Amino acid sequence: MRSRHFLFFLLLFGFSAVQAQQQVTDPAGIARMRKGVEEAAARTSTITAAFTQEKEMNILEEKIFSSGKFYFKKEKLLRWEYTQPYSYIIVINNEGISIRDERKTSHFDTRNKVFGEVNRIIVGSIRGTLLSDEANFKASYAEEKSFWIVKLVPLSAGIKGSLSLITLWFDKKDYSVSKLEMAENTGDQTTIAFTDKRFNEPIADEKFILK
Amino acid sequence: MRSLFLSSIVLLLLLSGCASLKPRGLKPCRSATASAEGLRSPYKGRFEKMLFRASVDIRNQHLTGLMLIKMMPDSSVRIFFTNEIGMTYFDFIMKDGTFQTGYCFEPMNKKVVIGLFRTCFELMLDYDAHEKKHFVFCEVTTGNPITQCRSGRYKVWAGSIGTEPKTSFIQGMSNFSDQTFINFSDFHSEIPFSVSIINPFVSLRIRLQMLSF
Repeated sequence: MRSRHFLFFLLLFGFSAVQAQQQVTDPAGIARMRKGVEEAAARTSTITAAFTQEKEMNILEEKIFSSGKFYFKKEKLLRWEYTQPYSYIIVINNEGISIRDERKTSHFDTRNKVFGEVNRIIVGSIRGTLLSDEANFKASYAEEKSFWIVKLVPLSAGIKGSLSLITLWFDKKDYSVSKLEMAENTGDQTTIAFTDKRFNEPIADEKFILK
Repeated sequence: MRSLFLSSIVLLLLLSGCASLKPRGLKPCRSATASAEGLRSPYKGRFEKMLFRASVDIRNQHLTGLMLIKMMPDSSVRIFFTNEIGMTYFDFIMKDGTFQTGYCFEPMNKKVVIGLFRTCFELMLDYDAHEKKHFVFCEVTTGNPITQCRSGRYKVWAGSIGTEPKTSFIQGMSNFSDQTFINFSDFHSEIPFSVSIINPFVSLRIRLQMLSF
């Protein structure tokens, strides 16, 4: 009897889990979602948010957590300020990529493979351009109660070499990115969740310069 | 012909100069016994999982991130290096004298480069000369015993430097290009929380600072 109850709950849970994320295949629904993201990107000049990052290593059965503050300013200025587990800053501006760790500040051009690609993914998702980048990504769409979910399979050799899938969660209320998941070819994945998002508050340009 | 001869001489001198592993200021002292630092890596058999803040400088590339070193249930050791935004640089597997690559970021995925990392991590984590024939020298200034031995494919010098604060070193090589100098410092209960690894031949430098043990 007890096992029958268990089976019932298992089926119910499984059914709910399937229901939780529903594929969106009709062109009108996809167009509506993409339009929402594009309009949100158009009216957003700055974003300030807190973020938490979880790197999951499947084979090692380990997770590494980090967190910090995130700043974006139109068109392509980004600042990742990690505060946990240690202080580390990445700034991406028109000049390139600057990184400050405890020892020094290093400067790279945006051709730096890893940061260049991740920068393109982050900025592209905020500005909505990634969804229409059909040359580099094959997109599929789904929705949950509070989110639009976009799954992007990399097509270009540069990204395909390291990432197998990028998943973006857009908040249905304001079409902003709430969560980003990057699955690597190794089976590991990194999830970045944005909270305490504030839009269009002034951010000084100096925030995007590291000397 | 003459320039070829001269080039060969210069190259030989350079290689032999680079290949000098023996620490300076040593004298033979056959009666001294080897110290623990001289016979074994301070990590050998002493960890399950270590998380380091790491930086790797190689060929003008400065890579930073987190390095996780974990003893797996099958007694292999995984060495996993990821950058701050979560992208994996490498995942190496050490087991029973073998060194395999689970994953390596494309620009570094070269046999020669991986071979250099192999020397660094095998000496840092796996050096053990307890059962091996070794010679003991003494540091002239402190009298610290320094061990010289052959461990696997490596010719190794190891021991402690100075007195306080405690630091120890392992210097080893299997060929001219992989000579590696490892310094351990910031000891907590015999475990070093700070490690510096240098291969001067290719300007490889690895710095590790323990975050959790």
